[in-house]
Amino acid sequence: LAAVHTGDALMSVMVRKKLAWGLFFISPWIIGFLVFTLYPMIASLYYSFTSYDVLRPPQWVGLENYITFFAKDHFAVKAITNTLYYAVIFVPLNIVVAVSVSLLLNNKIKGMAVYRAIFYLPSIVPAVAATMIWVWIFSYNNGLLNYGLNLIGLPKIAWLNDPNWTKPALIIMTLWGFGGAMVIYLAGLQDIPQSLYEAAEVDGAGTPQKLFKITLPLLTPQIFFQLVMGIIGAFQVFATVYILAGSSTTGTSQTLGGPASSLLFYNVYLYFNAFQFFKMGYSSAMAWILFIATMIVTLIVVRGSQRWVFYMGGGR
Amino acid sequence: MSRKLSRRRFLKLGLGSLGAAGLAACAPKTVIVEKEKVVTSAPEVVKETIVVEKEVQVTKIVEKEVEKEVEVTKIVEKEVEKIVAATPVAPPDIAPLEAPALTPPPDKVELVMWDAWGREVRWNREPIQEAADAWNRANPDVTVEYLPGLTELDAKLLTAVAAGDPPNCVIHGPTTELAYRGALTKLNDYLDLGGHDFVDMIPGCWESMTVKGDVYSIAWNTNNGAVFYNTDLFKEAGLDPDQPPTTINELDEYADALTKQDDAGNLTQIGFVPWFNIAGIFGTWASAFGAKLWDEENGKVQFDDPKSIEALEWHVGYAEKLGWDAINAFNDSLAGQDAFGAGKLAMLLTGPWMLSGYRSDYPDINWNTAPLPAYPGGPGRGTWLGGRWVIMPKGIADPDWTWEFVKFFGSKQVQLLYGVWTTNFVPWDEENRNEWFLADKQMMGFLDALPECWPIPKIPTSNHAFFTALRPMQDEARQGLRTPEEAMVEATRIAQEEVDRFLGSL
Repeated sequence: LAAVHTGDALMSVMVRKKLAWGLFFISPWIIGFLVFTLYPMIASLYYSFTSYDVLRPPQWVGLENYITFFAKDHFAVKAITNTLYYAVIFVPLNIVVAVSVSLLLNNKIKGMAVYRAIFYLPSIVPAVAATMIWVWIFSYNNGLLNYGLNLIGLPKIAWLNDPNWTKPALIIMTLWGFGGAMVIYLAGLQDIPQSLYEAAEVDGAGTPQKLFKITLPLLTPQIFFQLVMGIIGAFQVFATVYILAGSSTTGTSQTLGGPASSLLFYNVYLYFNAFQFFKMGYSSAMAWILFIATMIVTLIVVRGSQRWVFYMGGGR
Repeated sequence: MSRKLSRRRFLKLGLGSLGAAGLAACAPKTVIVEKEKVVTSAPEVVKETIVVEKEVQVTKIVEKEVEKEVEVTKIVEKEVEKIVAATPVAPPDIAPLEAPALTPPPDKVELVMWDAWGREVRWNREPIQEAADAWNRANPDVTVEYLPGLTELDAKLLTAVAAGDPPNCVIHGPTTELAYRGALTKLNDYLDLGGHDFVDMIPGCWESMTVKGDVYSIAWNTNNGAVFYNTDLFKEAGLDPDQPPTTINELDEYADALTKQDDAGNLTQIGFVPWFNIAGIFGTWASAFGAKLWDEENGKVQFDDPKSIEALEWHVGYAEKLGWDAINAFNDSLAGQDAFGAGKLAMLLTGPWMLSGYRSDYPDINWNTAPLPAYPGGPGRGTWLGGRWVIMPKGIADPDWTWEFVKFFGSKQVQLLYGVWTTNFVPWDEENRNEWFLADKQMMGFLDALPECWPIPKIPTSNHAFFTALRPMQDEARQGLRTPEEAMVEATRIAQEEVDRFLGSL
């Protein structure tokens, strides 16, 4: 017994030593996380209950920022509706497009790697550069898109100047970058055991049945992942809208979110409040509202996922 | 203002020159001449290559293509565009800067100066660096380090002030908000010491340095607006290019005469649009109509001043006359070209930075400038007073030495060097009447009206007031979504709420 105890003590010394070294080596991350992530997060929660302009010490205002946001700020309403409009249309559309294209790219034909690379390429173009290109594509008189509409006899659209068309323009533009999601779907597709298809064929299943009874159900984990990430991404969209909003050609200087604020997205408005108006307390409150809203929506999606996401190996 | 800079850079970024092909192209060409200038100030010899714009007269006979008729007529150069032809721009052979050599301190002092404008923008950086170098040569124990290209300047500055380690001085845009927020050192006591050039300034410039009577900044180069007008389009429309419009009514008449539509109703040429470029109710038009948008004493926003509403009504008149959508389609059809530069906009209210912009990027158009046409019974021909200001943030190290440097950096000799180099004005009327500016006839539209200009409204939360209130409401009125009065009343309400909240928190 005594020997065992001694052994334990020895072990624990070694374990502790190892632990110390482990902590030492991971300390850059731990310090970085505590100082640059955790502390700012907690501080911003505190600031969200204050009026704070960086220079003067924050003044406690209780829930005023939150009340102003929900009850008094009509730009907040605009920012929320614009962001929801985008999320509700873009996220499902992106899934449909990316799944469809990855189904096509999952065929075994010659030169498939090239096609895959071509469809993937747009997603690695930096957002700013891509937006610059799209500003040209959306041009009223000289744009590729209106040229195409003209060819099939449709009227031209003022994509970046008409408040009703700026968000559809943004959706079209961001759909272009579906390559990232596509790669994940492709991986998912290749993970589906060939034996299932073979068994289905033996039973006389056609292509549609294979698609709807095997492929899509077994792709639901990937779709679920993309849905969650897509919602989070759509809520946080910034750089693309910020540039697109600045590209309206009404002949005047900068605006708050483009024509009639139709491109005033949540994070754009947050940015303006923080770095143009120096309302750090208010923008901190906005950040927390966004965080909580994202969390609630994600939780709802996760809860609902139990009904439609299938994991191989029987688990749901 | 970085907005102006980016516009200018945008122009420079390869939009190229455009042929106004159907029009007479017989004016003198502007060419860029590189000249080597040797600055011989002791102790070392500094070689600088500077770019000088020089008008070269075209002495040969040129062809004139008359619109439609394609009739080639031979005319002599001197008969065309006497204004432009008589513009020999001298190279800025300014005497090298000489900074005062002060009694050195016991310990070495190191000062830092920030500048929002880009590191890559040579025309801005080089004259400023030259000033810093001149100071450092004379005062090796009190050195100044110049740091250009600080983007997101306000965020960095406020953070630095809050952290207790601000730069000694900053070249900054409008400074009202910073002054109200307590980010700036008050300069009254330093000014009282005398021995500086900051007297007899243009009244508007002095006004722009103060908040509630206290001085918080030094006007460091300034600009205003003037109407650029295309003399070829004037002639084509039967208007006298020597008689630009002098009143708002004349401006309207000229604008109508200079506007063209094609058979499909698209605007192919526009005479004038009041809100093009950077002009708007906030900076120019409300004040030009005689409105006072900000009551500093009582802290009241007055966007709904009857004269401001009248100015906006006048804007709406243009939106209705030309069509909001048609104007946007016109802009869009330019595909990034500058409307005035492309010869499709006859008159444009903008700033002096476009003087060199149009000369270098659009040499094929012929133009001149005129002061803002006056509103009958209004305050005159003044526009906004832009430019930049030198500030000393609160809590800086070595404030007295910083002031000594600011005294030199803001002095007439340094500002004039920068002004001539970059086509910006200085805050003294007399110094603006210098040989270089007077030789430039196209600059007169600016210079003549400069003493009548005023700073933009000094609202403590002006960014908020502009972006969330005035800017969107102006557009809603122009689009016919609200009446001008409704728009301005609403803009006042939104802006006032934030002003009250802000002033209440002080």
